[in-house]
Amino acid sequence: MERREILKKIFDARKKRREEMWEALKANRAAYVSLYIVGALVIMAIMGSLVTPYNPYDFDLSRARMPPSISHPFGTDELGRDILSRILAGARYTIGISVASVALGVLIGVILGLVSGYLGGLWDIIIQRIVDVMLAFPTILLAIALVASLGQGVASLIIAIAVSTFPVYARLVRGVVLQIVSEDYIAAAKLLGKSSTYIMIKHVLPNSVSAIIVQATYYMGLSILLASALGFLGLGVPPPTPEWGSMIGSGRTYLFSSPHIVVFPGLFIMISALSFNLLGDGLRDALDPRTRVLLRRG
Amino acid sequence: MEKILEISDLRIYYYLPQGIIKAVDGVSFDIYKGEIFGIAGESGSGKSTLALAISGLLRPPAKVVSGRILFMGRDLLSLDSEELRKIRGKEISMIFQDPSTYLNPVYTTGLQVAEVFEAHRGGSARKYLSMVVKLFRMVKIADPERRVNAYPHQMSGGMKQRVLISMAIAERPKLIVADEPTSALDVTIQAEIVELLNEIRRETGSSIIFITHDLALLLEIADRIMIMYAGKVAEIGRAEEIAKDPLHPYTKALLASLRYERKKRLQSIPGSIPSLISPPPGCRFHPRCQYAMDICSKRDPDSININGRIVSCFLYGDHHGGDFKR
Amino acid sequence: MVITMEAILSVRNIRKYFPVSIGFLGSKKYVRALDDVDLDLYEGEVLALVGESGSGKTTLGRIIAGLLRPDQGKILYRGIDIYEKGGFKKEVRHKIQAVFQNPDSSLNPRLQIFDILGESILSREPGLSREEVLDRAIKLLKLVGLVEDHIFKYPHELSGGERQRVAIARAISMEPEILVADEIVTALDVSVRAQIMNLLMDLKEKLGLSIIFITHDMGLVWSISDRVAIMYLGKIVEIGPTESIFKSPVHPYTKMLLYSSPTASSAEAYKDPNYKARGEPPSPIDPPKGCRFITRCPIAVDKCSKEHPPLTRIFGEHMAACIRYTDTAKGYMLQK
Repeated sequence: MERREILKKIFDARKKRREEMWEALKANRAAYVSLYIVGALVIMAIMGSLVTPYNPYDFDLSRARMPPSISHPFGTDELGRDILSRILAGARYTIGISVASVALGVLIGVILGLVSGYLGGLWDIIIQRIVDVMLAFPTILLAIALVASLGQGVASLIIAIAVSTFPVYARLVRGVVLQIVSEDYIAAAKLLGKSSTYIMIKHVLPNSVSAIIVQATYYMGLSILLASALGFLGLGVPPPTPEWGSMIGSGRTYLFSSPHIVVFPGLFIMISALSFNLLGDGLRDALDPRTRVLLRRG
Repeated sequence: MEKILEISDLRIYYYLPQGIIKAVDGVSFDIYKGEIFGIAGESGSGKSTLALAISGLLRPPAKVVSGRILFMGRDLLSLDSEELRKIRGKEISMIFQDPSTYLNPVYTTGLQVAEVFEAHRGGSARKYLSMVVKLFRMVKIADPERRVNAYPHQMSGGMKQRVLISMAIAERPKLIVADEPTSALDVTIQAEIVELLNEIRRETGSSIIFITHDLALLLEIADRIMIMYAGKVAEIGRAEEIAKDPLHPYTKALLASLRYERKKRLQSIPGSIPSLISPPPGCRFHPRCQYAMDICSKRDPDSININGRIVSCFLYGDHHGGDFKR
Repeated sequence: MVITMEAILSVRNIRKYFPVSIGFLGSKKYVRALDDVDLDLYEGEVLALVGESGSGKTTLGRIIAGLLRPDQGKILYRGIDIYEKGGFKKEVRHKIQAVFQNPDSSLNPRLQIFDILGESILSREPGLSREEVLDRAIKLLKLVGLVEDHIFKYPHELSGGERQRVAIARAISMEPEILVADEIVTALDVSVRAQIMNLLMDLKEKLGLSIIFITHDMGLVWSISDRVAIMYLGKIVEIGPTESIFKSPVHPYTKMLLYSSPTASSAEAYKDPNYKARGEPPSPIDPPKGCRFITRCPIAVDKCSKEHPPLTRIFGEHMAACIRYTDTAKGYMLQK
């Protein structure tokens, strides 16, 4: 075969593999649907505030606590604000904060986990002790403490959640790395004289991705709940910002009299967390070449 | 000699989304009382599936498509799960490859062996511990009184395998199915375990089916050997006879690859083991066979009996309308 | 290829213990994987390293390949210490390469064969263009008996034997002089085993390799090795020319090994029924003070428990670590 042909075949094979991953994801119905839901949520987060039928901050006590109707599909809250508009505008906060905090937490956790698992020795001992101490705190307490000391606001919320969750990634990544390190292809890379950093980035990390993604998407769900919980406790973004959690918090007095105030934000929180989780499961199966082979060949 | 097991035209297929794997495709053989019957085969030969079928441990997606497994005259395939349970462990017992996965780490080994008695005689396992001590002595576990209270992790691999063997012989079964019982063990430990199995066969009269990929091992310990390839039987015969005069080309090739000569190239078999979903037409070995003839790619050879040796190959018998020729 | 008496590799006083902590406040205990091991590899030879689990052969293989640092001792490649302060000496890193046992874990499952071989090709020649790398990679594939079609495949699309061939191709792409082959055919089917062994020997001749062949299969040892070292619980108990070891083994463990090995029958091994396998190896954490084989040795005497016998020259290059070697050697003389 001619060189050109071979190179083409190489690239074709790579493309085919990416397509297979996509097919594997599609095969998992729940994950596939979740992908679209997540996509919709992300769009909502980006553009939500632009398409609100009403101004999410406009309050009108005379129209307070109205049940869902044609003019207000989700009803109005305790201050007469349109809940649908607040949900659309609030996506930016709830989803945005979760994504940012997970991204930050994953970044820190992955680096620590890689170093801890691959380099071992003193690095491992120190990092693991830090992780142990942090894991000893209940996540929400840690988050509360951090927000309390950092002050309220989006940034401190992101930092608080990221810091409360990175230990879990660190531990998970370390576990995955330890398994990968025992594989012979890592030893083979060492035989080539490659540096530890090179091996960590080029060989260990790509093979840990599927585990990391699952945990990240699961924690996305958890972050959403955490951000909402903080918001519910009044520690999240300060009112009147329409963050879903704080919506539940301020509306909880009316839980039985006007449940819609709490139900709709709650529903959206639930759908978001669930979709990220299911997407994560699907991604894990789709990304791991060995599971895919098992599904294919048997 | 008394026939313990009679397998006729057994076919076991795995039904998978990607196709049907014909793991065992028309296998027939007999086992006699007190013999060590070796089943040799490489990966994909179907030997492990066969072991599971005889032990009554087959699960979907595996399915017995046709054939019979007659144990002492009863067709195991027609029994319900309750009747099978009575036979399993008592009349037919099993020894598998990796003892670590077959011993529960949270119970003492003595208790686990005693469970075999409990399952077939009732009562609580504890009262059988003294019988377990006797069993441990029989399988040459040193210091048996102490060892019955040992946990699996406190034992070496060889010792754990002896525990499994003691479980297998507890109820004096007529047939022991050993699937790669020594493959996970060091060669010196393997030698001891094999010797032990031989002794057990002599003392209790149990028949042993010894399944392994290690043909060299079988040549040393088995009375008769069955060579399997890609779900089919290639050859069955007495170990010494097969060693001296192999008939099936696959047997010849296997034996040749075991011939280690100083500083000479090893005999290899070209090609590789075929897919079991779409095996080659006709004889499954023909693409790799140096004696392949036209008919080999068209029809599947029947088994013929030549002076007690069973072989499935067109080189023999009157498929060609003549005497068997080499 | 003529075997020169030049030691291309010298292993001196290698010690490697692995810590095992017993309990929370327990004292630190060690698995004595390797204890004061000396070895020479002559240029152009195949030296077999034989042992069962716990012998230390794999650990020694990894130390020689530069993948594991010994606690004590040196590995000298043509007189140069391969371990330097930071790790493996860069200039000679490519001279010693290895192939491992498990075909499932030897190749990165996310990479195509092209990338896997490309990585090692570029390690040797960093400036190559993609087309040049492709050319070299295809040449390598052909050298190990694979077709160029394999270049765009992923590891899971190849059979175990094919994956081992790729692993071998990767190792030789570094242009090594020494190859450590650690149980490279153990996980393969018998029919494929011979193919890979023949490939190894062909490559050895073609490329002038010196090979350390780690195995527990005595048949393979008989077939390809010039010398063999028998290891037991972290020590070399017997070493010498293969024919001498097989025809007149001296150490009781060697005799036990030869007697128990089914494949040793085809080799002209000396099988002594007095050395039928018996007993269990002691724990490698606290080996007995004297000779470590004492728990299973049929000819052990009191003196054996006092101290571990040194490797003593029996005849020619044949050495054994057994204080009763004179009786054993006498036995052979009487037979002649």
